[in-house]
This record gives sequence, structure tokens and C-alpha cells, in this order.
Amino acid sequence: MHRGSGLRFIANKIGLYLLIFWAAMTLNFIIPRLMPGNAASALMAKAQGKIPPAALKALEAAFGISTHQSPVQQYFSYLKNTLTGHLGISFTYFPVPVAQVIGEMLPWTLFLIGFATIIAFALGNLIGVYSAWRRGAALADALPVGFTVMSAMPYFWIALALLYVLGFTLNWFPIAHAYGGGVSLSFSLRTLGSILYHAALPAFSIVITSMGGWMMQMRNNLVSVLADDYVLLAQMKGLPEREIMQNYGARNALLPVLTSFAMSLGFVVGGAVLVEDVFNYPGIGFALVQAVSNSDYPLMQGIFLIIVSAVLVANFIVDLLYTFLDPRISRT
Amino acid sequence: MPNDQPALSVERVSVSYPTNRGWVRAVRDVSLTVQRGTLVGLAGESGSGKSTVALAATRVLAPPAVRVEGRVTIMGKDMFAMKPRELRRARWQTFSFVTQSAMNALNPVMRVRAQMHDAIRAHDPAYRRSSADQRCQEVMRIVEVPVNKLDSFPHQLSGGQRQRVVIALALLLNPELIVMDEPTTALDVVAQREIIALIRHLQRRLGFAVLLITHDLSLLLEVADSVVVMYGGRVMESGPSRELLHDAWHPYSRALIHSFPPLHGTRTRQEGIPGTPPNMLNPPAGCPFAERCPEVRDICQQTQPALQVQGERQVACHVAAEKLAVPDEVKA
Repeated sequence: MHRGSGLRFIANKIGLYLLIFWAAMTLNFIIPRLMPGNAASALMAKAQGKIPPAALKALEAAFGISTHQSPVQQYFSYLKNTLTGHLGISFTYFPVPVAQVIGEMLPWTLFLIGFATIIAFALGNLIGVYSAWRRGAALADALPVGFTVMSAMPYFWIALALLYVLGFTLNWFPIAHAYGGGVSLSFSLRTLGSILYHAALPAFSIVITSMGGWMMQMRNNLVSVLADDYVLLAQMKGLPEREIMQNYGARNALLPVLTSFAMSLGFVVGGAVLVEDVFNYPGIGFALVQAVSNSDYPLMQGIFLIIVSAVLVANFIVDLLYTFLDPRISRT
Repeated sequence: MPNDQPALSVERVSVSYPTNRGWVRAVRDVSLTVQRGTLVGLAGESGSGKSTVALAATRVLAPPAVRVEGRVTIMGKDMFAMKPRELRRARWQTFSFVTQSAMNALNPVMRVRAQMHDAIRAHDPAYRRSSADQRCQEVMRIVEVPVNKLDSFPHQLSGGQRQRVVIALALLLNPELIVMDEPTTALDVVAQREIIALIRHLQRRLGFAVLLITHDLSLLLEVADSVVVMYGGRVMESGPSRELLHDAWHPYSRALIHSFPPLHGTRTRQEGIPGTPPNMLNPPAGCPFAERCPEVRDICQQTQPALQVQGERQVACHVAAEKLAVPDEVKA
């Protein structure tokens, strides 16, 4: 139909996202440098004099911080290093490169938080549709209240409660780590089972606390969409209820929700810091806590960069998706 | 089915809305008849209850949102005795709608064709894509919109085209009756006249009946076969257009006719109607128009004038009743 304008639309979007990515990278460069000292001197201070001052130079070289370079030179070598995947060396996990630390942690986070987010989104929206469509009925009206209470509870508290009752007291679920001690990471049913078993509690605590938000958003959108003239006309047309709900109600109510879904998918990469910390789950959130408590600037920088990229990529994908779902967008 | 059966018959219908202070009657004792193949206008200011009558009569407004009393038949079928299944089937096949603000009556995320197909599919057990397509093209030609607009989304059509598409949608299943609720509100004056002319033309050619709801009484008197004027939830006057146009009995009808400028002819200063419609939460004891009536008498403030029948015409006014009574006495 409008092939040319569609391609131009995508090209514009790519340009915009590259610009945002550059801005994020630049901020990521500037902010750590606004803090007093540098990674090497932080490590020196942490060692409390156990490292001889002569080693400072060696550390600076290892961390890729050379105070002899001008800030502009530093900036360009930072850009080059980042784009080629050299994120520096973590000193929590010294001397493992940051890229490798993130590479090991990221799959766990993607698996745990990713699945939990998708499940919460799907369930939340389904329940939201139900409670908007059947509003007035006892169950449909009770759901929003129940889920508002649920989502008002801090999820680390739910996590701690679940951990204590189901894990520690009843001993039904493991209380830490991503898989059992005696399991080797190979592709087998036993490994898979152990991974799922260990993910159950943390995933459950995320799902039940974040579902309410999705549910309320969907319900509110849908209630206002259902008052729109085109829904009324669809009812006047005598369409079956299910068809009105899907094509006229939910499809229009889902559009604004997608943006928040993209954001949260992007933030999946950042991990659920508290849940991963409570369950000692070896993901990015856990690594971030380690990085912060050890003043591990390279690792923090690396993690922030990954989070920013993921949020941007997720938003980009949703932007493209919108052009298919909402015909009004591609024309602008 | 006897041919003299009216398309729509509304007998002493009252509609009440629930409020904090109990049920409020927005419509009282309204009766009107739309004979097959005629165009009947329902006129009144906003808040006069004209849309409420139409929506309650067709069970778009239904309990528990409102309380409806009285009797309504469409093509001889008792509307309030119909089961939900029958009602769903009768919709669009027997009676269809052109809704208020037709600008928003189309689903923004579906193509025009899909929004026509779903109506056919919902009612025709022998639905076939190709024959449905043919019917879509037919109705588009009838309302004089290019057939290729079937593949457009609503936002790609102009306001006038959208209005025509909504009318085409109403024609889709060859209904006996089309209820048109302010079908031209969102359009400019020239487009309004075009649409009204189109409606009149189609109504004569295809032979369906129309209940046309608008606040523009002077326009109604030009196109409608007969007109019902409502105020404060009651019928003030009704009768054939040609008679009302030159000799309206009710002071309110006369005021309403003089509130709209003619499109052609000399410029004259328009008279408005001073004051505001009565508050239905606290309806006046006498005639609802008494507060604003230039010919008000004492009796108007105290007792409600009853609807007097005089041949094809009806009027509810103490002053008009006096004038009518005189010639009768003379005759006697």
C-alpha cells in the first residue's frame, strides 16, 4: 500500500534510536567520571594499603583508565572499546572481563525475568479483559481489588515470605541458586527440571506482584474503549460478543499497553535486583548488587549499557509492531 | 405480514435513569409511529430525551442502565418481549443505526471491508466471501463512495466519506428501519445538506423507513414526512411536516423553527429561545416549557397540558388547545 513511506518510517526510527543510543553511551561515559577517584584508586582504597602504590599504574593500565589521555581522547577510545565489546575488566570478579561476566549472568536473567514478565503480562491482560467485560458481576469486580492489594505489596517481601514458608520451613522448594549442586549444565531432562524447580519460587513472586499492574491497565483501557461509539455500533450490528470483545475492544485497548510491555521487556535485562538478591539467583540484578557494593565501576557501566541497549531494542521492535497493529501510525 | 403494519411503533414509553436521588424520568409517555417507507423526524434540544427514546425503543439502552415502561414494536414484533438471541438476529437485519458522531463510529484498527463483512457474517448463515464483497461494493456505490475505499482504514477517509460509509453500513442487510441519531452533527453545513439529501433520496428509492433524530427542526420540516417535537422528555407537538412548517401550533415548535437560519434567502436576525431546558431531577409541575414560553399563562405553571389529538396532528399546550377549541365550539 504505502511501501515507500513505510520504509522511510523505519529508516527514520533507526536513525532516532541510534541517536538515543549515542546519548546514552555518552552519559554512561560522563557520569562515572564525575565521581571522585577512579576504579583503580577505588580498588587501592578498598585494599587499605595492601597494594603497593607502584601497582596503581599497572591497575590503571589493566582497567583501561589512563590519566595521561585527554578527556576527548578517552571519550573516543571509550566509544571504540564499547562498540567492539571491550567493556573493561571487572574487579569484583578480577581479572575476568566485564563482557564475560555479563555473558555468564545474562542468560539466567533473560530466562527467569523474561518468562516471569511474559507470563504476568499474558495473565494480567486476560484477567483485565475478563474483569472489564463482565464488570458488574461479583468475581469481575472483586478481581481489581484483590490484585491492587497484591501489586501494592513489595515483591521482595513476597519473595522473602515465600522463601521462608515454602523454601525454608516446608522445604518444598530450593532457597538459592539457579540449579542444584549435583547437576552439571548439560542439555538433559534432569538439568532442565532442576533449572525450572529453582526458578519456580522467584518467578512466582514476580508474576503475582506484577500481574496486578497489567490487569488494571488493561481493564481501565478496555472500560474506556467499550464506551466508544464503534463498540456501541458493533453491538447494534448484532455481532457475537466474542467478536466485539476481540476485534473492537481488546485490539484497541491493547495498543497503549504495548508500550509499557516493551519498556518492561527492556528492563528484564536489568534483572529483578531484589528477587535475584533474595534468591541468590546468578543473574544481572545479582551482579549489579555485587558491582555496587564493591564500587565495581566497569561492571556497573557495562550493565547499564546492556540495560539501555535492551530497552532501546525492545522499544524499536514495538514501534515496528505498532505500524502493523495501528494503521494510523505509519501514515504520520 | 400486512403492509399497513408500522415499521416502528412506540406507545407511551417512559424511560428513567438511576441517580443518587432515585429514578429520574428523562422521557415521559412518548408515543410515535413510523410507517413503512416514511421518514419521520424527531426534533428537540439536547437533553430533550430524543436520543433516549430511540435507544430505549431499540433496546440499546436496557436495564439495569435504565428503566423502560411502555410498549414498542418493530415490524410488528414486541421489542421488550424478544429473547436476547432473537434481538441479536433482528439487529441490523430488521433495524439498523447511523449513530451520533458517526466520525467515531468506525473501528480505527479495521479496514472498512472487514467492518462490513463481520456484520454480514453475523447474520447470514450462508456467508460467502465473494458474495459479501459484492454486497459491500453495491452499498458503497449507493452512497457514492469509491469502491476502492473498502480497503481503507477509517482515518484515511474524509469526514463526509466516513459519514457515507456509516450509512452504507446501515444499508448492508436491507433493513426495514434505520434509526439515524444526529447523523450530520460533525459535518460542515454544505456536507450536512448533501448527506440529508442523500438519505432522503435513498429512503425514497430503497423504500426503508427512517427515524431521523436532530435538533435542526427547520431542516427536518424540509425532508421529513412527519415530525415529532420533544421538550423536557415529552412530546410537545407532532404532525405532517408541510402543516407544521407553515402553521406550528406549539410556541416551542415556532421558536425552534426560528432558531435556524435558512441556507438561502435574505439575512435576518435569528431569535434564540431565552432560558434553559428544565432540570429533570426536579421537573416543573406544569408545562415543561412554561419558564421560557412567550405566551405563558397561569395555568401553564400549574397543570401539565395533555396531548390533544386533532386529525393527524397532536399538540400538548394550554394556549394552543384554547385556540383549537374555539372553532369546534363555533361549529357546534
